[in-house]
Amino acid sequence: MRDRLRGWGKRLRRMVRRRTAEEELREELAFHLEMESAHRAGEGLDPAAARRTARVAFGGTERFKEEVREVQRFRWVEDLRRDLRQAARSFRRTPGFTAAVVATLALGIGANTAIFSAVHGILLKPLPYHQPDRLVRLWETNQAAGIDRGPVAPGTFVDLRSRSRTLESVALYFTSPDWLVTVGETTREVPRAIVSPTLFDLLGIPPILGRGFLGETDSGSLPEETGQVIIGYGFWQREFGGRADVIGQTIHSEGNTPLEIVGVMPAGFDFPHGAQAWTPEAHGPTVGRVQRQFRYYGAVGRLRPDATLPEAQAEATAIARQLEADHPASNAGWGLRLESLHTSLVGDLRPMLWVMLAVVGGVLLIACGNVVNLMLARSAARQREVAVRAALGAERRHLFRHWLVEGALLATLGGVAGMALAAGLIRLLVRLAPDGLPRLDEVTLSLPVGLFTLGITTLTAVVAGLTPAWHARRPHRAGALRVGSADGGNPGQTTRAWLVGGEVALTLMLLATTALLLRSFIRLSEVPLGFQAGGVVTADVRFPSGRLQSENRRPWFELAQRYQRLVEELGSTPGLTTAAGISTLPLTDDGLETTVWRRDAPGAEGRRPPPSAHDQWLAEVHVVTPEYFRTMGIPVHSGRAFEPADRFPAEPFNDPTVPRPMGAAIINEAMARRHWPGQDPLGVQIVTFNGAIFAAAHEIVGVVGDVRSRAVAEPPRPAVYLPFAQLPRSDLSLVVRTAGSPSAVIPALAARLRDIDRDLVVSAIRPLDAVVGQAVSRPRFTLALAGAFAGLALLLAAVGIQGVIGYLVVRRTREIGVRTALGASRGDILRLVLGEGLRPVLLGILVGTAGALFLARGLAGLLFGIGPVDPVSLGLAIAVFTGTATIATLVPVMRALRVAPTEALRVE
Amino acid sequence: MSSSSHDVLRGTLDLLILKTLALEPQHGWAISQRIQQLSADALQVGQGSLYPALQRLEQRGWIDGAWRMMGPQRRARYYTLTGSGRRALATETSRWRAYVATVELILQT
Repeated sequence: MRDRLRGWGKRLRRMVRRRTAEEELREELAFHLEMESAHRAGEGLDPAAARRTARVAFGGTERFKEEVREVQRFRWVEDLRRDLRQAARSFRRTPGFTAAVVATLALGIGANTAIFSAVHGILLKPLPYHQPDRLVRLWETNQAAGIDRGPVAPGTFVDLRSRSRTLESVALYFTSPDWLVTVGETTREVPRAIVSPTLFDLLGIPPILGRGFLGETDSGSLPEETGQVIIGYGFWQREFGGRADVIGQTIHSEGNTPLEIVGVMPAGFDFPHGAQAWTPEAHGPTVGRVQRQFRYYGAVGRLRPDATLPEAQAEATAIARQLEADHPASNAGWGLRLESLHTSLVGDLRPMLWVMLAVVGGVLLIACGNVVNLMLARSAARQREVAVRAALGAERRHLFRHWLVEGALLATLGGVAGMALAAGLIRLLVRLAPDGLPRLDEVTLSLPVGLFTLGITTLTAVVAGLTPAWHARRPHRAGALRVGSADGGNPGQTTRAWLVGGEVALTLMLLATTALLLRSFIRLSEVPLGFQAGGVVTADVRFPSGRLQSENRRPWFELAQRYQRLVEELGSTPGLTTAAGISTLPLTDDGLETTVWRRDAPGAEGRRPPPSAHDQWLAEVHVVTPEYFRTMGIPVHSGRAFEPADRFPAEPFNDPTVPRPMGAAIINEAMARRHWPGQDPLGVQIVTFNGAIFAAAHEIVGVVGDVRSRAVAEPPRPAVYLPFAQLPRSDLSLVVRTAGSPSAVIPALAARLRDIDRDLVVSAIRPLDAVVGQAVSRPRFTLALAGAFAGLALLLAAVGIQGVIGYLVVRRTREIGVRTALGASRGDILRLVLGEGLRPVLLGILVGTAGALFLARGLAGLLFGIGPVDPVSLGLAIAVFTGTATIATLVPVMRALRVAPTEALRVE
Repeated sequence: MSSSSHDVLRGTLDLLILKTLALEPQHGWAISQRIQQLSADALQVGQGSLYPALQRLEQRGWIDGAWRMMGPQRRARYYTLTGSGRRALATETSRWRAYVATVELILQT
């Protein structure tokens, strides 16, 4: 073996250094000649004569130099070149065939490349941080409240940081998407994150300019008096033109706080997602009870090199137990969950992406099936040519190689076209992808994606080339050369039939998947959202605090008044029916919940929650203006909606010494069901942590219908509505109902908002339907993708079926003609044609049904309101498929039925 | 060239080269001489078949060619039998004997 390898090595060397080999050969021959002359001279000839006779005996050197060269050369390189030339020539002769094959392969390979680039960019590629596999996301959990991934309280964070031995560092972050920043004269909204100063060190990404935040002091405060800010690359480029002297410059945040720019993060740094500015926040070693109780931070940690995630989880669980014992009021019932950061970012996309990859994989297989089918049909047509070549002495392996080369050439063309297609598809995917899909910017045609494409192209080449090659293995020499052999040979007809069977099975599986997703999507769309989105326009607005007239640092009363005026004026605008505002629009809530308790719960006092965790409830708290329920069409089940009278005078807002009055509250049915099952909650006084800023408590004055506030698929959770006039804020989502088309009133509404209050910043005006659409954009995207691919699969399979049955009819034209002449009925002919052609199709349907049931189990995570085993979806898939297959067979079958006996005899 | 001397049959040349090299490493001319000598001038190895054969055997890994200095300014390409060449010689030899025996058997009838 080693000797043989060495022989190959020499051959390679020779090929690379052809010149050297030539020279060596010349030298060797010269030496031979010399020895021969010397030998002859030794036998008595004079030297000149000896050399002459030696050369004569030697013969023409060029002749066998060529022979030696022939041996030296890589024969197969020559052969390959010849085969390629032949293949290219034959493809040029049959442009239709070539185009069909290349297009089919390009579709399959392009779709796979595009989807794989998404799988790679989102799921497989490591996160762009230092040792990303050691990064974990931390959550607080509460089984009783049904929270399995909740935000973290600063108190928990501080204790975890000091007690954990498996985490080397921990950081908190909190995103506020609409932070107003003034750079020079312009004021802009910049997504900002408030973060622990350690965050950048923890992720291992230093700023490209300037420095990170200085750490916290031991007393848990930030070392510097002046505010600091680190800005994102995009912000830097946009606002400062990428100038290096940005470090040390000052920007002004809302409320006119000057912030010194100390660093610039690199392009692509996107943590937390979307942030373009980071300000530090310290949490000291000692934390008050409030900081233990109010959980609203995101938290990440880095594992020590010697610790594993399960170890860290066990430790965190133990720490959570200690905290439960130490601080029952704030921590009873709360646990900690650790999850790899990667999983927490993209975990929920995993099922969708893998299903998509499986689906496009199926499409590629079907595409391959059709290509093999075409190649077999072609090889059947060229059977005579092949037989002639075999008879003329072409070696079998040459014919074999010839088919392989044809397959490889077609696959390469398909691969190149597919890659080009993929580049377009990826752009399309990224553009159509639902908002909020993480790591979308990493979905590109990268090297690993290229390798993947190369891999599947090679596989395709082997499949596309090998099957016809396999059939060319034993050319039916005599049979094919026989005159009148239209129904003589039958290479690959069986293979083709089974190929179609396989395609049918795969197509059915894809159709069933799409049908399931479709049914699930319909179920999702039918979910009563709890409000009437039609006819409502929504606008996100805010009053930047710098633009308020109030001298007081507590502009709350002014906000309450100005917003009240705003919604009232809007409501009386011609063309608009009602107008209102809410703190967070339905379906966009981030799921933060607030602690709520009965005012008379044991131990509760003022803003202090009751000590028993059992008495502390969690609920969404929404702040709304009076007309909200009417504008949104949310039914009031008992009691009343808010009224303009649910407001406070200026004093409670601006004067902390004034005793806080009683406010009003409206709860949803979910809350009423949970805490007052079968009872009347009206009149009960509750305290919500936020609501207790200006009010002593809120008396429940009404119960309204449930609304899907976080996601369509998430059942409603307990919610408390408080009057905006009793808990004002600077930002609000306006909802405006119009009698006409929402899109049509948008420009007028924008103008009207400006007219009413010039200080208002309006960020997003859109129909509420768009918000609803956004909420289901992910399943809709999944469905659209699956549908597109299933449609493609169906088309390919139909082409395949038609091809097989069509070929069958052509092959049997004479037989059909003869049978018709002998009096066979149309039914007989149908049975003849379809009996053979449809058997694999029927078997494919059976196998596909079984496969679809199996595949559906992987879909469970993507489905809503429907089980993976769904006879309706399956029936739908079979019906669609059968319909298409029938149409596909119609053309060849009609041809068979029209065959006239005379025509049949002319077929040769 | 005497009428009793023959060109070496194509298939057997490889065998003869291997056999020659089994004794000791040799260069091309010496191989042709040795075959001629051993066959008592009955066999002539044409150079036109010798060098292609050497290339072929080298590529198969049965022999290994390398330059060796023959004097201050002269060098010759010497061929050595490799391990697999030795094994090939054994199998080729027995195959040849079997072939000859078969042919002989037929000729005796």
